[in-house]
Amino acid sequence: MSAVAAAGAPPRRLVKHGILAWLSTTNHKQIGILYICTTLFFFAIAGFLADVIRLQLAAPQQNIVGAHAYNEAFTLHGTTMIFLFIAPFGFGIANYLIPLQCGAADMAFPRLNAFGYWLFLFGGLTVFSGVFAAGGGASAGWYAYTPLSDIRVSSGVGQDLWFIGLTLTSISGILTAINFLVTPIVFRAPGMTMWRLPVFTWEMIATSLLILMAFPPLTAAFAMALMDRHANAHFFDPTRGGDPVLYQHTFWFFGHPEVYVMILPMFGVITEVIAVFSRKPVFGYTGLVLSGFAIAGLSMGVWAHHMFTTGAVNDPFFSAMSFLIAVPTGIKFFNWIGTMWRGALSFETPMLFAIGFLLNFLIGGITGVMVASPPIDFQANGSYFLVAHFHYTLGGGSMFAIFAALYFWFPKIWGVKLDERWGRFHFWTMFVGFNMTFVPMLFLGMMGMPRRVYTYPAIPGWADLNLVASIGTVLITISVAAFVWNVIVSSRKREALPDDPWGSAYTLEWATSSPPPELNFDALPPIRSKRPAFDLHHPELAHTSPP
Amino acid sequence: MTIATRVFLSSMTFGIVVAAAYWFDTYELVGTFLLGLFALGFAFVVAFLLSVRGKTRLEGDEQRPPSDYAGEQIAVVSAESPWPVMLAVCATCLVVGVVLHPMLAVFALAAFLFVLWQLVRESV
Repeated sequence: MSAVAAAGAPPRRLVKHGILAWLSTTNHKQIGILYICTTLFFFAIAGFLADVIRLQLAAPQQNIVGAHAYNEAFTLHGTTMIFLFIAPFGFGIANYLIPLQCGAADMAFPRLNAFGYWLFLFGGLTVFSGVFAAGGGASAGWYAYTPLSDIRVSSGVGQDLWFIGLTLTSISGILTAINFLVTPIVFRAPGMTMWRLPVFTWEMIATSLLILMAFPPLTAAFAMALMDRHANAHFFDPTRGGDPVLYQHTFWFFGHPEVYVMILPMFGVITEVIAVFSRKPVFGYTGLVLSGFAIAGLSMGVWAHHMFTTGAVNDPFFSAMSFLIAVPTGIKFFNWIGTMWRGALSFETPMLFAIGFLLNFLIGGITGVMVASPPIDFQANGSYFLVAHFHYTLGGGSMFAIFAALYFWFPKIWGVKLDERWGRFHFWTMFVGFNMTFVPMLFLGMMGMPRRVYTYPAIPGWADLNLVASIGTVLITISVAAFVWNVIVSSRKREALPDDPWGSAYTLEWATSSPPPELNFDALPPIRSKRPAFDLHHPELAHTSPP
Repeated sequence: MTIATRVFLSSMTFGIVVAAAYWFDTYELVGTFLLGLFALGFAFVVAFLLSVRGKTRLEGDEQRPPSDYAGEQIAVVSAESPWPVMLAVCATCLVVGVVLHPMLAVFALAAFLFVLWQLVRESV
């Protein structure tokens, strides 16, 4: 029996340091760090692939990379960003934070948690191992529609390894979600009632419900695709009684909720950051929590808006459900602005990224409402307009929130506060670069440029806009390099930090040392409101905290 | 009823409503089946939570002082273990083997079962 009461002695550690300690860890903080570092590694690869794509498209009729290599590049870029970076980064930060925010010593199922991380890592490596296989990596796009991904069109082992790797990451996601769901429900500290949980933890509860509902169909879809490829099954082969639209249904039953698996944790991040740098309690706490659940619920009923152009789905139903999602999302925007309203705002780097998130995600949301309308979607589907739309939601939304989270919790996780000047440089180059890249794509889409083409003719207007987009990508690359440099520079200037280096943080993780001790808290503070850390550090203002 | 139970109950109800609306609007089987599973999954959780009602501390509105919790287990801390990473290696080899190389699958299955047994033995 190796489980002990949190208040008891720490568990016996056979290996304290070195790679073996990391390989055998079951500690949620170390697993969180492993997730964060692994996802940033995958992000670097995805960024490199994006640079390759934009280099190829910088001018018309180029042949820097061939058609197949281009197809591999955009397939692996999309796959990596969605399955191996954005969503699992949320798992990483949640792994680190949920027990701290609940006042627990670890996750409910630590070994399951460790198993989930390693399965995710090996799944990701399996996907990329296909690049070295005969025939190269997967090239059927990140949603691998049949017949593009069947054995006749994608005969290489790379496509098999893609399906296998993502099946493993999908199972990993399910295991991780179980922990995220059980820990805040069962292992909250005394006084930490459900309605005192931080909004980030609530968003992870909603995200976990989504994962548990949406990921199994993906696993089933991939299993059927593999059986089609190798066991002579015909689930998706229309010539033998199968139906390729069935693949689309099962894939998008996962695929659209996955968008919210990526964005709901980031909504939580943004809520925490805005409240801290507005120096006010969260405005409309209950509305923020319930709107997260409304978004999660509605997102389960909108999958086929990705399939309007098949002509095989009920367009009005899915259009109406898609429009409805804008309502709870609007509630969140209202609450974020309400939190900032008349606050004592300051614009440190996390807040800059949070505001960048609001502006970019707003464009992503509005273009999302546009393509939720079938007549517009019939025009925009398959064009660069759609590429710009989902990059505004996931790149401009999630990526900006990820950097907000990194700057915000870096002092807590690593005991180092990142340099503000480099942080501002990072933000502004990324914000300008991002909009330089994706505003032109909105116009390219409206001018009819199709997505997933490796080259294009010299049609008036296309070349200039593509060049601007490619220059924007260079700026984004510079901004990420600035972040890496910031981490190096700031780590050299390490100095002891207080529990709350921001001075006005309020959730429970800021009531312990930076970084926290092995069992998270040397002593738990009394939890009498939604802002236990703020009450601890500012007892004279404790009466202002909502109960 | 605890807040957690209400969350799952609301999700289950939403799933039933959407599945019914979708069926009567489209008469399409795949989507209705998937939405039905969505509701059914939550129904299991609700049934479990209702069955343990009053037997656990899964309450959402505790206001007791921290001193009341002295000695109570509020979290588990697990010692380090080599088995999760080894189980993940075996699982990866098993799935790769099933698809691409049956002999690899046979060895991986044996290793998987051994590691799983070790993990279970260590955990109880």
